[in-house]
Amino acid sequence: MLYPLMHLTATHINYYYLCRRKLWLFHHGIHMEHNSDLVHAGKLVEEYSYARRSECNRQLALRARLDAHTQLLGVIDYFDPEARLIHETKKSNRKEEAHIAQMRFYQLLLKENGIEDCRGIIEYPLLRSSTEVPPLDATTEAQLRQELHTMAQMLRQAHCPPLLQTRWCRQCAYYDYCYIDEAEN
Amino acid sequence: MKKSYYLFNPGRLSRQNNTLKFVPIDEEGKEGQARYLPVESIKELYVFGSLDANSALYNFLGQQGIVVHFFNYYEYYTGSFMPRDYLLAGKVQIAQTKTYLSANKRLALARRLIEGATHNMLKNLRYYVGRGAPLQNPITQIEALWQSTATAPDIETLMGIEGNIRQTYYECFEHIVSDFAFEKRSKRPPENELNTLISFGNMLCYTLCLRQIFHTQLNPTISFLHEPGMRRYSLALDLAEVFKPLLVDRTIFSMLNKKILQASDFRTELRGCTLRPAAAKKFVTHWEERLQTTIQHRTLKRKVSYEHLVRLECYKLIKHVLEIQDYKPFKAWW
Repeated sequence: MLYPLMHLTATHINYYYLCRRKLWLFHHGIHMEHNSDLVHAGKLVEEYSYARRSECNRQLALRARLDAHTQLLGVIDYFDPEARLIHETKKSNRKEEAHIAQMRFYQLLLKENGIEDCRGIIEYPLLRSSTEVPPLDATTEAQLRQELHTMAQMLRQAHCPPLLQTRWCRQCAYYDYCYIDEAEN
Repeated sequence: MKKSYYLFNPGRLSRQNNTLKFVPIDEEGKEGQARYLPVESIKELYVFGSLDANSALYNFLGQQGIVVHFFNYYEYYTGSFMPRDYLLAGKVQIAQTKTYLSANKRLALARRLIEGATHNMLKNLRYYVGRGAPLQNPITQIEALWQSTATAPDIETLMGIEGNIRQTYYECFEHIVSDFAFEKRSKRPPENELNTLISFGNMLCYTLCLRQIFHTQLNPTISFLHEPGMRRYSLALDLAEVFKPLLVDRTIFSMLNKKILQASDFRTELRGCTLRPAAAKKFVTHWEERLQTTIQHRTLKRKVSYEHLVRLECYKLIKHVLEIQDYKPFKAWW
């Protein structure tokens, strides 16, 4: 079967680690982020931390092909080409695994565009801390590619994955959407 | 918190840098003191007075995602300025259309919408039975009518039954409020006070549903109970059916029974009965208060406003058309 070209972004890989259902909904255009104060707060942290940095525009938009049916797209907020360092700002480190995966996604995009051995740094200005991500090695790259293939396959399914029911759900922008139901009278 | 602005006075609204400026203009054409409306705080605009505005303003409002609703001299809804859709999801649109196109799926969903509307109407009537209103007969009639929807073969029959339910329900109004007679449902123009309030409230409810739909991925022109094209945004009519008893009718009962609105608030002319401007202001004040009232939601386990209930209904419709979860209509439980 011929598939139309699928676009995967950094948000996809981030959501892949958080919740498959959220990922599926997001991919199909069912966005809820505009309703969430937490998402808005996260955006503000990203926008207003490191104000001096934005003086010179170091944003970088990249694309690469994963395979014949899948295109990878990403926008790196701040890339320092001399140090080969990718900066990413996050509000909280509670879902660090997802942030690291997102960073690896950027590293892969850079590599596919001929810029290898980039390190990443995830900055948490509110926590006054940061996490370093070493350059992509063969193992992590293979793992990431595998994840991206799995993700593409999952997103081609016609049906939405079931509810996860975790304790994180209440904070999620999709909470109302996922949990709204009518109790029987 | 964003809020709705109601512009009753005539004047000129313009863009001033990145916010809005309103200059009232009186009957002699003299300009009054300018007022600034912070654009970030505007949910939507209701324009009742005559308004001067240019395209720069509408471009700005469009950019900010602010809907503008227009009403004529008689306070009838004339139309809305809708900004470009900002939430597009092809998958939802196709699923919504498919549900509409399948006669069975559409009929089942339409019936569920009527189920919600009927339940909420009966809830109101039963409350007033508890307070001594003689409404046992109409309740039995409405229940029988609801039963008969189970065998309705098509949408037209269903709409017919729905019409009968609503008529029986409206006839109860004069037993719920003192001092005002209902006679029959009259529109364009409404012929007496109760009909005027019903029409005015229903318009507000329609625009509320429209705004909530606008903030989701649903297409407001594809509806299930009402025929698409009956109005520009017929899905708002579908949703309004479910919410009118809770939002509109309860506002009317409360305002009349507490004598917040009285006979002197209405003007009856050859063209029918209209609300005096001061009364319209009172009505929208109470309407806004009602929308911000919160209840503890039973499945979300948190407080939600009446207004948000409409948004939640949109989410349920999205889940229904995507076959994630069958739609169960909102039924007031208090």
